Amino acid sequence: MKTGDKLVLFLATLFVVSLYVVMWASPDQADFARITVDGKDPQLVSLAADRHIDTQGVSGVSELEINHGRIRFVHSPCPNQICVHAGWLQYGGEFAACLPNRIAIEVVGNNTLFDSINF
Amino acid sequence: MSNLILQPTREDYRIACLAALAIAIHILEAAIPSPFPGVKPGLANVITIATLLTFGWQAAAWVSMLRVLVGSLLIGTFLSPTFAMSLAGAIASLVVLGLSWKLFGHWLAAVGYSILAALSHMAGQFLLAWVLFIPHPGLLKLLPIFMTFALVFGLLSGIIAGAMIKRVAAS
Repeated sequence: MKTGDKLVLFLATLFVVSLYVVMWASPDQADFARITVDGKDPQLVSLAADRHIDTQGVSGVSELEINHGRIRFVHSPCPNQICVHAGWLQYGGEFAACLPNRIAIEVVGNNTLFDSINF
Repeated sequence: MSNLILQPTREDYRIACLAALAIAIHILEAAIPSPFPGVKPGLANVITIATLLTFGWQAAAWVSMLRVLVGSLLIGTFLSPTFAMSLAGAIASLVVLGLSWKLFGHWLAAVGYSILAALSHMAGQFLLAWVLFIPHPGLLKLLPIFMTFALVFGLLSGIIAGAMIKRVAAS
């Protein structure tokens, strides 16, 4: 074996090990939530920082809370409070909507709850 | 109408002999069952590496391509997905071998070239599988495992090729 061979072997081993690190890194929790008001200009908000967001809807203000990479409706000016009862949304693809206030939130991320869904 | 007579040269015979060796190894290896689909030692590449180091890149390219073509014809996988994978791997490793042959020349010996060839062979196959057959992010999880096999088998066939070149040179 020449010195170059040893170098190639070393670099190739390094490459393969780094492949394991990159490809098998634990999937992160969902990174963003998409907030859509009245079906227009969806907004992406980061789930990294804990905070409250007040969103102006069609019939009032809905209060959203972001906590530990999750998001939920806290208050909404609607009679049934279905959006609030949807609870925390954490995984990519999870969805909650307040129809009377025309506000929808959806978690966007690679860490989805299901591999695939058939209808 | 004149008859066209191809006069094979010494190089043609040499490439034919080397390709025949590679094809024989390729077919013997196809008979060995593999616990992992897509993983096999790739010992036919020993001949490619030995040809590269003794007769240069062009001869190695001929041997490798003839091996893929005739090997698939004899096994019965010609123009099947298996053939496409095999061809993609061979082309990828030939490209990388050609580049490193130009760049590094005799800085590297059999082991270095063999590892480079094995990794690029696997990368080429993987790329084709990803683009053509299974464009799913889950496939990427398999890449490290396949690359580990490629590294180990590349190292092994490099050592074999090195020993073979030494024996042939001595005789």
